[in-house]
Amino acid sequence: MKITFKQTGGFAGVVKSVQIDSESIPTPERQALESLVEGSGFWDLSAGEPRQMPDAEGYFLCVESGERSHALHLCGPDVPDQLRPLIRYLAQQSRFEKRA
Amino acid sequence: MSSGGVVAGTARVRGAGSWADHRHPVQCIVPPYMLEAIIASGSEAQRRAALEVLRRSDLLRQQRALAQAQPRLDLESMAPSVDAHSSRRVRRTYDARHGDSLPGVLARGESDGPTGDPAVDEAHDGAGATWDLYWQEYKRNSLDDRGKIIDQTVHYGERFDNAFWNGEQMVYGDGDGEIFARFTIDVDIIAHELTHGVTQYEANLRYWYQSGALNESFSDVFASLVKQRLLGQEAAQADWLIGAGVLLGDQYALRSLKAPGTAYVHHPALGTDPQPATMDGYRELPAWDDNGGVHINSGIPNHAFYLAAMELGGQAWRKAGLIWYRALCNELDANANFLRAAQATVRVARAEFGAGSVEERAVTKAWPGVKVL
Repeated sequence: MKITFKQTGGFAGVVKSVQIDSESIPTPERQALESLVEGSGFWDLSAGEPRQMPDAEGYFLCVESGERSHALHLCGPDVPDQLRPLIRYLAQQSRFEKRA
Repeated sequence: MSSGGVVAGTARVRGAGSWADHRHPVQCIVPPYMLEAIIASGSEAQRRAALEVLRRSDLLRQQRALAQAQPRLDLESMAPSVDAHSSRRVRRTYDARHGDSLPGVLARGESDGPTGDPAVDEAHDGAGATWDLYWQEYKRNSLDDRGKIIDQTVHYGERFDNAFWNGEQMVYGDGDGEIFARFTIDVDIIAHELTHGVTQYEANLRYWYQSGALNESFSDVFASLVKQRLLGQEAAQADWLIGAGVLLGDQYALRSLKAPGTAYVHHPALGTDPQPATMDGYRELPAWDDNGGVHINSGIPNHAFYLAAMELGGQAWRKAGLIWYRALCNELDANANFLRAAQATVRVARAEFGAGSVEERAVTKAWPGVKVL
């Protein structure tokens, strides 16, 4: 499973990001991550346009797993409850990114 | 501008989130100018009727607000105004206690003294300074120009590196303490967020691509003006920085209207300020990335305002700020782009100050300075 996560926007307009290849992390963490993804209902969430909320952080989340691939663009305060644990985990793993 | 009355009639229709969405369906509005005309020139009976309309409108609005308020609100402080030309600033600052439930617990009401919690007191005072600019300089009665109670929540989340406007209130985090301080530390951040509320009730600029960058820019412009007015500065004395305190490190700020791209340079975590000063540096970004770069490309209209304000000199909120305010309220729509904003500000300058005036020339010169015109 490959995960690309980016947090953009917010008042400061800065970027935080992380890319995770589950094959390259220890088994317990991989299992916990896969459980977070499956438990979030991510694959069934609509990829529609998020609400426009000034200075709210925006999340871009793309997951590729085998044949499946799905991406979401979310407004931070509107993240569904079932997705929050996964977003929280990915945000904690993220690091500030210097814009090119 | 005074509040509208609660009688059958029609309301000026602006964009979603503006007047059209904020009228109760059975409370159509007699336009304020009609009420004012009646109060100014009507018979005694007509004056009393118009004033009563305003009093009932104010009372209904404040009763609705009370119904949503914490029980310990001082009802005495919510007394409605009966003078059509007065306004009353009402601020409520809440504490989310590091959770994400809004608004949280009421920490400071309008008539409460300082609490000793810097975030609460900064939010309260900053909202006051912002309300004061809009009322004292532009006769705007709060965010909606109808006396909307200013609600703010501090201590949102844990180490939350952000502040935002959610359509109804402002929300501030405490920052992580390593890269960012608390987001109430700069009065311009508070004024920036409140101005998103003003924009929502006026042009309601769509928050993406160029209209979103304009939305951001109006917030930065009036943020800077609130700060300058609080400090008693003229344009040439101002630092024109946004977020000089929140980004930890004396040499860093988040944005500069004077010199976009220089607010922070070689920051160990963030790199260098990516804002362009002119269209030569305009960034085409996808929607998922900062809604198409609204915090990046705002540097261009920000710099246009700086150029106009510096050309005019003096206190920037008086002329340049007035022109920008009128453009936001009367000229722009939700899908405005930089070119239309430029044309609108030139039109307003001409209308307010005259064709060929110093003011029109200053604005006309500012936009080519950022290569929009």
